[in-house]
Amino acid sequence: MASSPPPPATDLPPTLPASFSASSSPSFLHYLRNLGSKAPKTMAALYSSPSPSTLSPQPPGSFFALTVLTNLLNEIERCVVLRMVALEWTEDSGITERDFNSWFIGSKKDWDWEKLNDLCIISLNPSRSSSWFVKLRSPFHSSLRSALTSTQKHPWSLLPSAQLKPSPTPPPTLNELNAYTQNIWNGILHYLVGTKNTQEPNPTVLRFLRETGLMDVDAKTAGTKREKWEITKKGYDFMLKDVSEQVWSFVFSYLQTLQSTSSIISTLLLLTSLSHCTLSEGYPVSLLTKSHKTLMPKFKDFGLIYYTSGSPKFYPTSIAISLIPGSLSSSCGHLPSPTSVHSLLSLPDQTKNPTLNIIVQTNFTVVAYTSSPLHLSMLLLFCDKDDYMVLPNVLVMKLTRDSVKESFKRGIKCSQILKFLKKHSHPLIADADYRIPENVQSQLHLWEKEEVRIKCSLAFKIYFEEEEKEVERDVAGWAEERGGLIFRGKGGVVVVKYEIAEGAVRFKKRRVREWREEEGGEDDMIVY
Amino acid sequence: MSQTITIVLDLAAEAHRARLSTVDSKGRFKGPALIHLHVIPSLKVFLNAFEAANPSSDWSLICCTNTKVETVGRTREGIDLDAIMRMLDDGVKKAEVEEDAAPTTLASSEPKANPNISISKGISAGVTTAVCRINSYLNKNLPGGLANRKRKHETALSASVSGADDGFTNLHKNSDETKSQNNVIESRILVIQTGEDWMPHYNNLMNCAFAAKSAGVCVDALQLFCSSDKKEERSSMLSQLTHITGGLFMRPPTPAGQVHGALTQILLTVYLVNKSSRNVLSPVVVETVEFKGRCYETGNKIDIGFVCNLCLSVFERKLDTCLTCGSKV
Repeated sequence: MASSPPPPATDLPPTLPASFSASSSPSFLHYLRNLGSKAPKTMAALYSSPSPSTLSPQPPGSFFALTVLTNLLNEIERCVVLRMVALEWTEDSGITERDFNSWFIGSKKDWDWEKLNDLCIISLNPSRSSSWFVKLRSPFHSSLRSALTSTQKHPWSLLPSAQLKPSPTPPPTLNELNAYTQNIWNGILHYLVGTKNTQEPNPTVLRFLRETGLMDVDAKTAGTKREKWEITKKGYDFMLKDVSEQVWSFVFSYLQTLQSTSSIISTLLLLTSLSHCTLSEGYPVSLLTKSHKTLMPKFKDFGLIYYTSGSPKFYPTSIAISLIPGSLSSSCGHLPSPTSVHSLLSLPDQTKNPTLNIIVQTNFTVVAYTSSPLHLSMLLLFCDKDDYMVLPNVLVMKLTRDSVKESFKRGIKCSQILKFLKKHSHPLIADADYRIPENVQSQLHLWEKEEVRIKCSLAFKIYFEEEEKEVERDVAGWAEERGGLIFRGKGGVVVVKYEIAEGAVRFKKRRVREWREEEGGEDDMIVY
Repeated sequence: MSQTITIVLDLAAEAHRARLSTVDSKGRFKGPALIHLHVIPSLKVFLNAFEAANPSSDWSLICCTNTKVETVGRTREGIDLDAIMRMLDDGVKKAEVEEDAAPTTLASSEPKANPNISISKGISAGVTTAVCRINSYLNKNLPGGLANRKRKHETALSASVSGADDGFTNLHKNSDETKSQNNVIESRILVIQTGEDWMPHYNNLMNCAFAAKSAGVCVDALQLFCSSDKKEERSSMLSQLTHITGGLFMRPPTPAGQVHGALTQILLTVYLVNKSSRNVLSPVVVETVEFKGRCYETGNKIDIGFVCNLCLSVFERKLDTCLTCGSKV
């Protein structure tokens, strides 16, 4: 269902690059490696970022170094880097080539020089002999040492309540925090899908939905006063993603709009610091830097932090903690899901914390334990809209050929449907070898293959006389070089793609003229 | 893959080692490493590095003296130092009582140091406790118990982590991704021995080794010097223990090689690499295993000896009654 257009931009971030697509936002590693020509200085500034106050003895740069180490390197790279942390070098010394190679048994296939250089972790220097030596770059080295030798696990000190001004509202519980994040994202997805009576998200989110191609103007109402916006193919793809991927898309789009290096640094440091927080712990707002305080409203819009105006503390949500996973924090950043059948069947309050648990049966029936209208909308993307039951705590729907093919036309792939169903599979069958029956999986793949079994494209037939076999061979070769040859028949027929038809005809004319001249014949034929 | 490590830290010989610690002419500490000054700080860095190297991981610490074995709890900052210091003080006081009870000689004005207080009597109890906890944890979390484990050194996790009885409290709970991917847990034990071997517990330690091996648990060991004399003997018990379970055994090259950050470097270089990665990343340790038996009475190495047919204790001289089990030979 179409929805009203977002309000005009006022103090919103600048426009996103045209090539950006929310459905294909690159990973955190990719983003760091592609910071451009300023990458070494930016990375050095990130690693060596100082502590903002004496009450936070652990500098945020050390948390950034830990995040890079834990999140972006594989196990072998982490072990090797940690081996090097305890060592000290002078400017013109390091681990020699011979010693470094002796650390590996066999080939160094798990060691990516390029990645470690892009992330400004190691430096490779020529030595006086013909070999080289390697060492850790000093901003990363000192930050990581600081992180490993510190006992502080949190980026901001947990000040006692006596040192803070009183909070107007009581601190949120874990369920309230999760419900808060869920409500924000449910609201965005409801708006995306076009559910009736949905509150409009804030302008930042609306602009993101528009500029990333998740929503587009309805063709029927384009240019009119009642211009409406509706979900696109990319939007459907976006809806079926994991919440963390969706949030990262938003965050990445925001990072793309930042112009100055200092703002990029500030945002990345805040993101990595949040990933080292503990869920349901409140951190003092007074310990944030000025730039971080300006980011608070945007992060609140994305559901990354929870705070109320006037409150001395802010609370990172589970999404913020798991956005860049791999911290030393003991908390698990996942949204909770009920693990007992009893709690599922006992009509939980889905409005506060909606969960989705799916069982797919061998007769293509989808049983979804949920009562959230958003989950119903999401399942109706690929289930039969005309034949489903809505019970107080369960939905019973069917996967049919028509409904699945309809979803393919919207741009949803079979792999996305299967991933969605597997991700939300019921805990009772979560450990089974096949969470989705084999026959259902196979049939979905077959239906998808039907979409690409026959591909129609415009073509052009070129006929040749019996004596023009040489010309026919040359034209076929010419078309094949350009990737346009579709078919070459025995009866003097060559079929080429329509795009190169004109060129093929001209080539044929020229070849026929040349052939005729060679044969000594007159050029009196009509070439077609 | 989730990783767990249980550290068995021997506190037994601390009094003896503190007495024998020396400094060189420039005032620098020469060794041996003291628990509160050198070992604990290095261990903190090692555990932080372990958590950084293995995002899905957990650790527990078991401290043992000659009379007590205790699992040390955790604080927000990591290791509960107070609990360790209490055990240390307790151990030092008991060592002083033993020292006072030692006979003095007419020749020396100071009481002769009791050699027994340099012996690690609690190691086998500590390793036993570690193996039992890991076994209990794996049995709780593996469907059908350890009998259904799929591979030799790996076990599947199908339910949430059990409570604090096992010492592992930080592995992800209720993680849909963990359950759905049928996560694998690799457990290992790191034994840090600070005293000498206690031969009467040889059988106990070997039984622990076989139990650990059947549970797929790898045991690594680090032996620290008791004094600043680098001619101290290597621990044959620990080297055999690690050999049976496929682990690593190492002793720093010199007593000074375990202080001033050198112990941190040893822990990070040798013991940080998980067992599954040791076929890719060399542990940089080459230690030979001594398979010679030791006399249960004198502790001497022997090639040929007399064996009790009941408890299999080995002696270098023929005895009428076995000193270990008391049976008539």
